[in-house]
This record gives sequence, C-alpha cells and structure tokens, in this order.
Amino acid sequence: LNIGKKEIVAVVDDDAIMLKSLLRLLDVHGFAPRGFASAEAFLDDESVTKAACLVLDVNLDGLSGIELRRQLTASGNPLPVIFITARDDEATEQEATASGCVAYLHKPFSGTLLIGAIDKATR
Amino acid sequence: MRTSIPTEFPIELPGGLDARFCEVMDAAPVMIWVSSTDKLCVWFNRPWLNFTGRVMKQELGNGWSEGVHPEDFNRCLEIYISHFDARNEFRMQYRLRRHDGVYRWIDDTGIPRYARDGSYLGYIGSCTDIHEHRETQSELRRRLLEIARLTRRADAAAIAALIAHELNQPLAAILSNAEAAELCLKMLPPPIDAIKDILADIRRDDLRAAQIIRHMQELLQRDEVQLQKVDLNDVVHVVHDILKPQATEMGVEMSTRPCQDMLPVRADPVCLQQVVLNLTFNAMDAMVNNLPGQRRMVLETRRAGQSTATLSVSDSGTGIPADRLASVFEPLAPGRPGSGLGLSTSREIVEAFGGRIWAKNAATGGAVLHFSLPLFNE
Repeated sequence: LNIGKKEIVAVVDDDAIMLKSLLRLLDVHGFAPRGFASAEAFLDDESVTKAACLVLDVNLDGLSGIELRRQLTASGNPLPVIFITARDDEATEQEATASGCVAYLHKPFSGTLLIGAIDKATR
Repeated sequence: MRTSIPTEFPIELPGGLDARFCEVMDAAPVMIWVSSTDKLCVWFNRPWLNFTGRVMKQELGNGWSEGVHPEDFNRCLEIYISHFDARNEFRMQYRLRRHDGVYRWIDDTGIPRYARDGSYLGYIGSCTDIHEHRETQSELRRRLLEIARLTRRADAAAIAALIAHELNQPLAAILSNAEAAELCLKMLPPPIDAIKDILADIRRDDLRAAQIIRHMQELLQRDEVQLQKVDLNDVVHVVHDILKPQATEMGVEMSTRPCQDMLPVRADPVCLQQVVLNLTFNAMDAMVNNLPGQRRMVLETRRAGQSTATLSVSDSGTGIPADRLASVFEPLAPGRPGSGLGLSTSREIVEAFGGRIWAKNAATGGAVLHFSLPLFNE
C-alpha cells in the first residue's frame, strides 16, 4: 500500500461535461483522477496500469464499456470496475454485472455512492 | 362400359328434383341443401351428410338446424327467412357441427330456384368449410390492431427512454459538481476560483437540460402523431378490409363509394383509420334492431370544392333525433348508448387535423356522419 500517495482512479466517459465533473469530484475527495473520452484512449495510455480502479461508462461510442471490461478480464488485468450509465436498461445491467463489476451506478448518482464504491474496490 | 342410372334414389323426389340432378350434386365438392317453398329442407347431398355424420332422415325438414351452433342459430334463421320471403340470394357464415362433434365455420350461399315454367320451387344452397380461412382472417385482424397499438406504445416508450438518457447526463454532472463545490467550501481557505468554475459548469448543464426538454417537446409533438400525406380513399379501403368479416357476421351490407380522384390530406393514417372505424361501429350499432337484409352501410368519399375532402358513413338505422344531431360528438352524448366516447374522440382527432365533423339524417332514413379535411398539396 502506498500510504500518503494519492490513488489513481481512471474514468472513461464520452460526455465531456460529465467527465469533467467526475474528475473534479474525485479530486476534491483526495484521489488522483485520470479522464478518458473513450475506451480506446484508455487502452492507449500506459499509465493506466497504475490505476487502482476504473469508473467506466457503459454506453460509449466505439468500444463499449462492457467490451472494454471483457478485454481487461481476457488479458488478465485485475483492475476493479465501477460501471456508470445514464440508461435504464435491465438487459444491459445484467450483461454488465455478469462481466464483473464492483458497482453499477445509475446517473445521476450521489458522490457518496461513487466514493463508497471506489473505497470498496481499492480496499 | 355404360354407366347406368343408380337405382338407390327414390323414384319420386320431392321439390321437383330428379335422380340425375341428385347424382351430379352428390359428386360436387361442396355441401348442398335443397328446400321447397315451405322453407323446409327436402334434400342434402352426400358431402353434407358425410360432414354432419347424419342420415338424410335426420336432416330433412328442420332437422339440419340441430347442427347449427346455438349462438349462430337465430341470426341464420333471420337471414334465411327474410331472404326466402323476398326470394333474394343470400350468403351467411355460421358454425355447423361436424360428425366428430367439432363446430366448423361454414360459408353458405342460398339462391332461389325456379322450374322451367318459371314457377318458384324454393332454395338451393351450397356450403364450404371455411374454418381455417376464417381463423386466419380473424388472427390477422387481431394482429393488425395489436400492431397499431404496440407501435404507439413502443414510440412512447422509446421517446421516454431517450429523454431519460439525455437528461441523466447533465443531471449527473450537476450533482457531482454540486457535491464537489460543497467539499470545496469546507476547505480552508475555500478555493474561490474553483468554486466559480464549478458554478459556471452547473449553470451550463442546467441550460443544457432545459434545451433537451424543449427539444423533446418538439420531437414529441412531431412524432407522436405522424402527420403525412394520406389518401382518404386508402383509409376507406383499409377500414373496409378490416371490418368486412365483422360486418358480414352482423348481417351488415357494407359498400364503399370512393371518389374517382385522389384525396390527399395531411394526417396520421392510424388516427384517421380510428376515426372511420369509430363512425362505422356507430353505424353498425345503430342497425342492430333492423331486420337482416335491411342493414346497409355506405362509406363514401368526395371532393368538396377546390380545397376540401369529405368522408361520410351512412347507415340504414333509425337516425338521430333532431335535437341531438348537434351533440352526438360530445363526450358521453345521450344519443346512442356507448357511442359517445368513440365519437367525441373522433371529433378531437378530426379537429386536430384541421377538419370538421358533423351528423345529419338522410332523407331516405338513417344517419350520415361526415367529416371534412383540407386537401393537402405539396
């Protein structure tokens, strides 16, 4: 454990304003957030190997959140995932949950819920 | 080899039938019955007897009617008797019990028969088993209505989901930002510039949400009712096809008199169909007390001047009392029981498309419900 050092939380959301607000919220909660506008951008970034957890939007243009989660699992990456979504769709939720996640949050969600999920994921 | 005339027929056949005729009719691929001038049946061909599984003696006279489904019996008897006396051709559908006890839908056409000297002899009828055909038809009709309903519901559900998705984004961002701002305010000293930045984002997201709502309202107004170019004649044909089996079942003679020209109007086709269906249901309800053979309904379209199209549904019912003509399209009008709601909905729809709806009594009796819509030319 890197006591004293801020934990890196990666966030992938294609909605720029949403992404910005999440990064800000994580920042004031004492995390070191890294934002990405797409799953592809996330995969291209070397630094994500240091992330303690991933906050991942389900409905992304291009590679979807669930597909990214599956790729990570297939490549043996144990990165814990918190899914976030603006859509209320039971089938997608089941699919996402089955792909493995710490939490599945419906937008708009309270910061407490998100931080609670991150704490659980990085504990 | 010569084929000899079979001898199993009685030499004296009733109702002017001869053995040769009976032999030919026995070989026909349809079920045939013959009645005499007293309305009683005097002969059935072999396919009929094979179908019912009974012998000639059981079917003669009124015996055959024991096989008619109790729910269809009175209607069939009415049609038979009223046409018989007027010596008119008739056609009816009813359920007849087959030899295995199963009721099957039968299509029965009866025509008057005359001797060589022109004297009236009674009727001859031919029947075919249309059970499968009828089941398919009613299934199709049911599906058609279901699809119309489902489409509406699916549209509404899809739009609601879209609104939720679009709105959830700015709402989520506002919530995160507000929570971040609260935490910033607890810092010592509070980072004023960061808080200003957050508030600006919140304001922007709020405007974004309002814009989404406005956009959706426009979309809903445009999409819920699909205004498009519709030919009134097409509406009449569709309604005719949907309604034909039910009209036949209720003994209503339905005919259409479409205008020669195309009558394009700007409307939602499904809603317009609903209007015409409501008017026809009303017409059919108005004729339930008429004798069979006196239930006539006409769907007519016309061009009225340069810029208006009209559609009318006339019936041969009792008409509408003069003091209620103006109010039949009011909700729960006291006119005919149960008709008020459908007619008031029809008025709402017609008026929504820029038209007008009214009722009249025909000089020849019965009511005529009209509506007019502006002709649409791109």
